Amino acid sequence: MTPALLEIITPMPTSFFNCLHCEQIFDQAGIGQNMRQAELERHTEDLQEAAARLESWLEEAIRQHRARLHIRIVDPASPEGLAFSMRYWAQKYPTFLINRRIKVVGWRHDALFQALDETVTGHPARNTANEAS
Amino acid sequence: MNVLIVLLLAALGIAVGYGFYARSIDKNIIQPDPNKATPATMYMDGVDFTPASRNVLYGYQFKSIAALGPIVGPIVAVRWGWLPAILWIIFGTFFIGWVQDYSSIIMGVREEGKTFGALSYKLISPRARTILLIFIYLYLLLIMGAFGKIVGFDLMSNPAVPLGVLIVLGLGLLAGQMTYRWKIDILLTTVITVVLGIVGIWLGSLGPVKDFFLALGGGAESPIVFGSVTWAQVLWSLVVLIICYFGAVLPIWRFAQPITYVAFWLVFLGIIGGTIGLIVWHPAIDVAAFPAFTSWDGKMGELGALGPLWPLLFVTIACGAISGWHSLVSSSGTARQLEKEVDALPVGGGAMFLEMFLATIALLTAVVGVGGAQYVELVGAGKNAGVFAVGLSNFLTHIGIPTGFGLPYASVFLVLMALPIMYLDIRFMRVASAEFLGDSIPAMRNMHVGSIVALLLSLLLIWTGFWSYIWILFGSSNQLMAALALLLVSLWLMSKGKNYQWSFIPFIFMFVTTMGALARTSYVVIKQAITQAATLPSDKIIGNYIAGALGIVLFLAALYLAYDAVRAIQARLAEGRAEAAAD
Repeated sequence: MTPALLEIITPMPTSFFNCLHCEQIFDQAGIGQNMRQAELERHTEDLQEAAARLESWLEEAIRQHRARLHIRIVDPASPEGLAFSMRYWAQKYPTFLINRRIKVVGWRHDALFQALDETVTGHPARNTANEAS
Repeated sequence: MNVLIVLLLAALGIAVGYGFYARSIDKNIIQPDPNKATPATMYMDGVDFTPASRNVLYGYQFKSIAALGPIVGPIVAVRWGWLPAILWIIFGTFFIGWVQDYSSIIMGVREEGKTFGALSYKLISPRARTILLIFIYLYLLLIMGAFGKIVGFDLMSNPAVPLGVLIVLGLGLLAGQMTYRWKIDILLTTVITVVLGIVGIWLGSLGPVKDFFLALGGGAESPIVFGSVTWAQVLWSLVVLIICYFGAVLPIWRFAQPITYVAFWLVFLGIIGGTIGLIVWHPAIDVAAFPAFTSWDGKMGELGALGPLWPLLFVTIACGAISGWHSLVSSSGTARQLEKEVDALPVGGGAMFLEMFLATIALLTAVVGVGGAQYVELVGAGKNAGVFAVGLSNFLTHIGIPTGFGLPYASVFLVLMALPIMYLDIRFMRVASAEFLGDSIPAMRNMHVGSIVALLLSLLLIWTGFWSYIWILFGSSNQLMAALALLLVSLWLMSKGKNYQWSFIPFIFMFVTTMGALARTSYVVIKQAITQAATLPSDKIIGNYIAGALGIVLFLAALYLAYDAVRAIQARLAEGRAEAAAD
């Protein structure tokens, strides 16, 4: 059975990854992890809280569905993120996309997990979760 | 000859090189197994080891290997004539460039994603890892020197450029605020910042603005402050380094990330527009004005000799033909994300051949976009990057964009390509100094102290010496890494009992060539500093001694490496003989 694909368009507390040349240098010199950790701690509190909340939701989703679920996070502040935001008209973050057909906007735990359940178990999901909360 | 023929030759190089030679080695020697687990699938941790589709990985690989190198190198190298330069770009990629990138990925995958340093330690000697780190540090310093001169001395000194750059930087800060603080969606953020960025570049090209910045830089004949350095060069190199300071100490989300994001779109639009303009225009190369071959020592018109074609051409064009930098990206970055072994060739080989195409376009900006007479004039005035800006703006005129806007746009484009690398470079140097010197000198743990020390070292290199020598040393440090990568791959192939000639012969060529370039450059700069002490400006004398010292350190490090490599090869061959005797 093909696993369901859950994609989340949301800003994440990234540390670097916008200069891939530099990333390689940091890693080769063995100081990449320390630098990334220091940068992560300098992000805004609300972004860190959002990341922590998302992490707990994803852990819950993985616990429930294990290998039947593939997860991917797309940062909107990237060329790929912009293309995604335009294609799926994501104007608020996070926006959750299930199999690129069902869209759940915002922190709507029950709507997201219900749609995930229905998709993973094979029952057709009602496309009622489209509006932002 | 029409430029379309040059583009066609490059395309033919790709078709034969990738489609026949690379595929043949992939199929007959490496024999990738699509069902074999890769480190990305075995050790998936969601951070370093993450399987990615070959399409995504192709983009990652290309973005990692392509920066200013494939643009500036070919522009400098056409002083030997455009034919040697294009031949090295095509044949260098064909026989060496893709070999290194692809085999580094394969070696990384089959050695469980080990870093290049760890592989050097294992396959050559413990000392090889230290030598690699020395290369990396010197490489970073040389990046700051080479790019700092291009941006501070060359591009920002053009009065039509600074306002556009400063506005784009401001818009980057705005993009960060809109994204992370005001939670505005990315589409609106992108449209507002990119459109305003274009308007800002246009504003910078207006007469009164140019007059203001010209006056700020001391007028049309900017006064000399010391040695041969003018007030405009001092001013704009300091401004560039202040930008780097903020890039090094401010949180990534506040400065580096959003500025790079806005800059990406402006650079992307420039590349697309320029390529379309070139194809629409498709002029013939005027071989009378821009000879296919000028002279063996790179003397073109009134420009002085650059040096012997061998070895200097082969380090002047590094990225675009073969660059050691790519092996770092391939071995520890891409190799940890490869989903299947069979993806190594399209990702590693494919991205290298695309970079070859980018280098070809850059070469054409000098040859047809600028032309021989103006090229000599610009390079003679020390405006190497200006050649690309003028050439690109000429391409843009063929899609209706006037030079009055196209020229500052192309100059801002180059500044935006270089700045993110520079401020992250400084960020690395400050963290590295805190890590390695923090215990003995506690002040180095302070981010401001570490950044300022790195900036002062960079400033020393920017304000002194000749740019062309710094560029050759930058290329040499890069190519030494390439030689190291090819050596590692050859040793690894030997240890697996596979044919290694296809990587060992390129290693010999790269090693001998780079050592020749380093020895010659070190000799010339030190000799010049000694024999011309009475006539050279003081800054150039200091710069020549610094460049000479850097060259000698690199040369000695490479000698140590060669000594260890010979011993490793001897040991490997002895092992083979012992195994054969036992059988």
